[in-house]
Amino acid sequence: MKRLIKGAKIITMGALGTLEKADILMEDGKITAIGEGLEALEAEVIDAKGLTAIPGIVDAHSHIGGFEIATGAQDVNEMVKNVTAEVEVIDGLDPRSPSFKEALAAGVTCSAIAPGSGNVIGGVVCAVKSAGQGTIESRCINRHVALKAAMGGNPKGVYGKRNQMPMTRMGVASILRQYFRDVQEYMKKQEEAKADPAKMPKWDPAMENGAKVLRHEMPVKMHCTQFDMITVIELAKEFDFEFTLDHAWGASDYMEPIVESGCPVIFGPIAVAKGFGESIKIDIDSVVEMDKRGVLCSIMTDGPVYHPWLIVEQAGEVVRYGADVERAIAMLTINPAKTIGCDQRIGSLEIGKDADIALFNGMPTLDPAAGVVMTLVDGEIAYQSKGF
Amino acid sequence: MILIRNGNVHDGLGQVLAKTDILIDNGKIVRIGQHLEVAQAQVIEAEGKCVMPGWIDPLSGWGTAAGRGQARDNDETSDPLTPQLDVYYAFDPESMMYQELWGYGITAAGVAPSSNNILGGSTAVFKAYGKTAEAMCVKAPAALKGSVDEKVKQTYGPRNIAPMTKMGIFSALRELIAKCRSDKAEDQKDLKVQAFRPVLEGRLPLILNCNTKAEADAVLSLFEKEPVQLILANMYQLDESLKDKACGLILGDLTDGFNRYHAAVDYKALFDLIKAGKPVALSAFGDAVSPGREILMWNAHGLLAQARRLGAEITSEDVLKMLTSVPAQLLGVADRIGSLTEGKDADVVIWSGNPLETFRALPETVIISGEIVKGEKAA
Repeated sequence: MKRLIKGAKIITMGALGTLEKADILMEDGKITAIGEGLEALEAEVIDAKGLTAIPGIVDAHSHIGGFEIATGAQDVNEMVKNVTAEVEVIDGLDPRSPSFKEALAAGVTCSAIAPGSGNVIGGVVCAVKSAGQGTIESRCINRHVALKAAMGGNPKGVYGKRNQMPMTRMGVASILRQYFRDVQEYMKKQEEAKADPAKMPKWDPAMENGAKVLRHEMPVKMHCTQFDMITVIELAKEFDFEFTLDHAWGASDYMEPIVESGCPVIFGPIAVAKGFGESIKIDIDSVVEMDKRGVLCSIMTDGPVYHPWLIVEQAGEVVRYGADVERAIAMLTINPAKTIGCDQRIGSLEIGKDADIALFNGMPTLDPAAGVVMTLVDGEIAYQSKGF
Repeated sequence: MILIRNGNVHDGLGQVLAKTDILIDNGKIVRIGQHLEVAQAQVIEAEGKCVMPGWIDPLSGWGTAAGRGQARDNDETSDPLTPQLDVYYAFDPESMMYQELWGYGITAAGVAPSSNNILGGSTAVFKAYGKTAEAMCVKAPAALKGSVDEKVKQTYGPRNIAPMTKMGIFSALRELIAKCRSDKAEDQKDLKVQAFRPVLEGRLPLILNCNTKAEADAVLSLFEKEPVQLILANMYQLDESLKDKACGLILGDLTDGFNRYHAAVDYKALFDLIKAGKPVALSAFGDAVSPGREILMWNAHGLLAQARRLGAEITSEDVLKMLTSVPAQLLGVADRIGSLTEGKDADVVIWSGNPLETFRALPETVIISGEIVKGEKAA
């Protein structure tokens, strides 16, 4: 099946930059050509005159499909012990959740879906497309995006109340340290077993996932704010793992160590009241500075905490505080795609990449009334607004 | 005196006055016009900038919680029927100031009891800036606030206290109405009766949260023959039948992803109501406990996006009214705030761009009650 988007302003986020009026040809789910005046026999034509095409939006930190809004059911917080590195969020997701439809209506075509932050280590994060046939497995484009971990108030709130560790931030750091020591030990035994198979440790999925982290096969996705970010940076140095700082409220106070660490930041959501503890600063203006200084920044909605259209709204807030529009759109597309290890397939409009495209009736992140009129996933129309 | 010169003045009533001056003296807007000459005023050049009335968040909990997750002094859930309570005593000026609401254009808010009681108590309108509750207060009481939605049932039902059902909610309201009409001395002395009587007599507006059409219809029917000034809030299932009903509307927040009613909103019906002149205000709280100051603006943006999608003729001036003059009218404070007209309080925001039309808009100067709260002060 061929489709041709005609006459759109195209913000490719790739080598072609921004094209004022051009076409995108796609076939069998992939982009096959981008340029002016494209023609293709037998292609279904989408007239996109006056519209703006951007790569399908990638939400690098979400929980959609794991929380059921109508019933309040949740399948992403396995809060029976403070470390559940063995669980994988993919097993908790409902492919038919209405949240995916809502995501499509906002132009979000892929989400890195994480276990919640009730545990210090919550489990394995995966990346799934918002549309597609049948199972979550078939929509998953990266099964091992990261190992989710959470600092601060959330695990404290769960276990402290039970008079269990962690009741304090000291406890959180200690649990993480113990876990990675155990993983190191496990890996050492596996190494020794190469010479002496009798030494092979019993297969342990929680340790296996930690070993992937220590072998740099996936990062740790750290729910953290303020000075917890420093704890994360220090632990990462101690155990040599890669990580992302997720939420990152208060980043403006920790600019130097964040920049120096080289880690990606997934900022948000904002629009919560300021308060004590973790919400002293809700400083999305810090994203402008981090971006300037080379930090790979993305914006999240923490879905379903906010409706998915608010990911664009929040990127607009980055523009309000001084970022260029194209930088803000990068924070919705190519940056998160890189951060979740999927940029070979998604995040920019380039030949050979997945045909995941959002068409807006205005310039997203600049024009507050701009909305999505059509979303394509793998070259198929996954959402179309009434009247378009 | 402060003279704002040559701004594009959006008055909050639907008009835009290009290159217009505003003169502020003694906390009030004293003159609006072109080429005003004043000898001893601090001059703020606003050429090319967007001058708007400060926005009003009409149904909020601002100032009643010390911070996110902290104790809420507007949430007296020891009794489902507390019309006698007054939010004035829950209001902490420091808590209000701490949020710096003016950073997103908000200069006043209707502060209300929570939505967990059938009748929670009276609301008051406070400025976003000031030293004391008394100095910040525009009007108290401004309305009586209650709720007939599921939050009340969820609060009391699990304790085996009525209301566990909607029947329970309406039975309690009927009983209170009956007591207001009774001539028994004990009823006359009842503080709850004394607090509700001004509502029944149409002297104090009644704000009731309704999530569904069934809830709204039940409320409208209950008060059909009374001269009550009814304001229905949240109203996620509003429809065209409201056109003929005597009530104002405060649309609940539409950003909270955990609210399961949002998908039901019929924007076409909403835009038709607005076009027909129904007073509809925007708000930020809905059922959320501690939203941020950005939420009111985001709701405005969301509405404009829906209007564009549907091809509805709703302009940014229409939406500005929903943030300014309409909430002022609903809360009975239009004589003081909600528009840029002579004689009104000087609650003025000078934006670098129109915040309803571009994200490139920062509130460069904010004036509340004639005082420059943000921006360059006089030397």
